[in-house]
Amino acid sequence: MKTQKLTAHLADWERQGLITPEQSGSILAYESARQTTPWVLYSFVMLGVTIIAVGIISLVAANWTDIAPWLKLTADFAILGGLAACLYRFSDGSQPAVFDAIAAFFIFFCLASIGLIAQIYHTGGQPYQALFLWCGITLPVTLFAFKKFIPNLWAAAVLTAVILFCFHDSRLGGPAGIYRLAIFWSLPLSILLAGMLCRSVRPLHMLAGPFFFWAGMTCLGATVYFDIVHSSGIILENSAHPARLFSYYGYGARHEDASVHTLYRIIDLVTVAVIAASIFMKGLDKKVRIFLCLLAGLFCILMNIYGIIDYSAYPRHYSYSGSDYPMLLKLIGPACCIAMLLLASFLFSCLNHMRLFNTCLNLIGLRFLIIYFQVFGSLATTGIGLIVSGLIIIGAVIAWYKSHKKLEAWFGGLLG
Amino acid sequence: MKKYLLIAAVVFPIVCLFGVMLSKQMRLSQGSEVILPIAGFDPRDLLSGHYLTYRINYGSSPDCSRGQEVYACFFKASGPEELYRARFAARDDISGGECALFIKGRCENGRFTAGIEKFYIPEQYAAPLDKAVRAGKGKIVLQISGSGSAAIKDLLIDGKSWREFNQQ
Repeated sequence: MKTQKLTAHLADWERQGLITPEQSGSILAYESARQTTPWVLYSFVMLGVTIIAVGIISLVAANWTDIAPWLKLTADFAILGGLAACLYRFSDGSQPAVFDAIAAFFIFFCLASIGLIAQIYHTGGQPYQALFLWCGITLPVTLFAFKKFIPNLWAAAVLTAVILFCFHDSRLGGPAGIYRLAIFWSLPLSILLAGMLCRSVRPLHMLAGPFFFWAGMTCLGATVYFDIVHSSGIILENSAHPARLFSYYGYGARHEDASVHTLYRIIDLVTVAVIAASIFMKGLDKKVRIFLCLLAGLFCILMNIYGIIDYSAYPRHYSYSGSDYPMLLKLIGPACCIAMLLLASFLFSCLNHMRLFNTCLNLIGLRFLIIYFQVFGSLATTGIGLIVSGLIIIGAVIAWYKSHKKLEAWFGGLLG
Repeated sequence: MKKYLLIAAVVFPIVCLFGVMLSKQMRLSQGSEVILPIAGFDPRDLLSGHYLTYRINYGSSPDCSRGQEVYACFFKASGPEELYRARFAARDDISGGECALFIKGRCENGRFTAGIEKFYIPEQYAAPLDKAVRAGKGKIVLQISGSGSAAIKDLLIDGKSWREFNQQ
């Protein structure tokens, strides 16, 4: 498929007189001789390894009580040693897929070993502790992976461990609860920061992509959750919903509750760190820096909004869809969601990720449609509203194209 | 150079896991043995399999707030059984040397927890063991070190090791 595309391009360039037939032939010969990665094979091998590893973990979990613990541990460490020797054997890079498959198996087997030790010694730890230990001890091997499967697995495991840690104690409150909540609320920005740090430190380069992926996913998830909680009126109408936590902490922030202030300051601190990293990180386009700063800033406002707006001023029995609920508050959720998606689409456009850019635009379009059904109700007002919105978008795009150089220069000046 | 780094990278997790295993083994082979009655049930964890989780009957309850560090100081109870009981105290009360046998834990939901509330069992024995523990026949054997850390040594059902109980 790739060769077909290349042949078509080369034929076109030949017709345009950009390259000679000899050059075209040389390029084709070079590309054909180059060892291409059989990614389908790689993906299926990794899938197989994952399934085998899950099977082994399940076998370990079956608890073979008739086998003496010392024998189980000896066999476990012998297998780990054997896998380590195999990794060394294939470390020359001649068969990257084989190396990655053995490395993945080795990493999964480390998890099985943690399970085995926990089983034999009856350790009463939490799952997040096992995952943190696993991530910690397997980080060095992860950095030797040739392709993205192992770094993706590692980043997903870290994220799972952090989320399990945040939800370990379901009753949030008190100093420990505040820190857990702060970690959870600032998770998208923290992952983004981790990705930036990995991008800056050469040995950790492999982990930057997975962290950026999860930063995007969690940021989108947080924005959608914020939007749903806000625009569905859950905060006011359902006192039992977890979203009431937001208004609870907002109330605390306005009433000088020291622990709640700690929560907001941690989020602010992470935002400042992301903005600083965006400004000082090497090799970034100026536009990318600008949109990263704006995204981080907007996300911070989103998280702080409960401390800014006094929701307790509106009685709980007020109906969200009713006219007694201020229009401005109705629009906060969708407005923040659209603004986040807009900034994300600009960022992806600067990074030349056209598919992600288009996805963001489609989501914005969808959100606009939902707003009018949510807020106005009648088809006539929805129609007029959508037409006006479309005109505003087209007008804003024309204005941007006419004055974007001036704006960029102004932002550039701000960033030095 | 890269070869040496790779060797270090693959040896590192093995050494860490061996270290964890060794520390658990040392905890189990040092200190004093304590037997405490328990009551509980059996859930399952995906990584290590079936386990019994239980409340240890220390003979008293701690008066503490959530997350607070508490020490359980053990003394032998009077009676025919070789059981221990505990009184709960703060760190200062323990460091005075009045308590020779103690474990460090935390207050969770008004209960004392010290990471010794799980006992892994084979799936096929889960139901009878669960039934026996629910019926109040279970006791846990702990090995407690001088520094206040505890390791689970065995589960007793009707005074016998759970393995013997299952063979009956």
